[in-house]
Amino acid sequence: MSKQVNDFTTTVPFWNPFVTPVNLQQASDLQLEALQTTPSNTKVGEYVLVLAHDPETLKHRTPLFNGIMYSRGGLSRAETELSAVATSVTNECIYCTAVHASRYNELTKTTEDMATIFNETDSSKLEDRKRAIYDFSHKLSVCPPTVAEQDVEQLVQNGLETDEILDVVLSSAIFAWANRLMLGLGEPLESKPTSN
Amino acid sequence: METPFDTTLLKILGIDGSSNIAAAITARSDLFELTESSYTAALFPNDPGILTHSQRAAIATRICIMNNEPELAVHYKNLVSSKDDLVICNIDQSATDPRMSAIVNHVDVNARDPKINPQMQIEKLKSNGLSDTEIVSIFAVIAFVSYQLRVAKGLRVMKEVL
Repeated sequence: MSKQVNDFTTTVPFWNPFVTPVNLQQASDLQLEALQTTPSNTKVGEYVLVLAHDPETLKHRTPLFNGIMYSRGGLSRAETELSAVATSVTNECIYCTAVHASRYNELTKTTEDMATIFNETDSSKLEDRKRAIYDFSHKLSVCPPTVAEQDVEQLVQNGLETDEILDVVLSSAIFAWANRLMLGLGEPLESKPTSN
Repeated sequence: METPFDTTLLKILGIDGSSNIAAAITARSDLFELTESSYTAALFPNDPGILTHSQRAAIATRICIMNNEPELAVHYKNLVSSKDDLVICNIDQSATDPRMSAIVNHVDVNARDPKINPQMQIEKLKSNGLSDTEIVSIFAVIAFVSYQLRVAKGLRVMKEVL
């Protein structure tokens, strides 16, 4: 039996759904239409097939997610991933954290920032600009959000332009969405179970 | 839709083309249009399934109140068309019907702290007779509103400072 992953990691776990994914062979026209674009343009996996139970929402959610994470201009790809990680660590979503921490490491060709975040689960040892992005995203993620004007001022003081700050908001917010699905509808396992 | 400023969220926030953050929003018009189409899909789906449009609006109201987001909460409460659903808007109460009470309990847990016993939450919904499709559609409402209210919070603080 595959073990649940309970600690933050950059090794992407297997996501094991609690509900039965839609069977692609039996999918309706609406479901097939919604499945045409997958998050991060990956193959159709179990997560997307679970979301296909609600094709009306999935159809719009996937291009929104991809647009926030991969649009050109504005915030850099790495800093977009940093905001996603801050939200995912705040919500303790092991799976989303692993996916986006590993992308951050690939983009920055470093591992120190993620190691620091995983070990300390705070931002105090990050460089100032990264810490401002992390803290803003963290404060937007808690319930109720505590983000305030001084958090925007911190971003401005660290050189972020208005379009970049908007991208921090959008990246953090879309992970408020993604984390609730990933955490609530399945669990991260070390590997795919041999029998289900 | 002609501009992002015609979307529901930006109208609620009173952000128009003259705003100090309008240029950044215009550069991301496609994302605000997708936020609008996601709003329609999550709150007013053609196939409402287990939750009526009124119940979806009531759940959205509840989530906005627990997140101290009064402007969006008022918007959603005005969309609650059945007075039977108003109880769901009160975060100190639950629904009287056991099935809806289980749904409301799940809304509270997933919106506030989604890491809390997720598998047990799903089992409770299943034991109240909910199908996989019905469960996923409840998540769609909670997750979308959790996103939308945070975009609102972020835009509001940006508007104040920039």
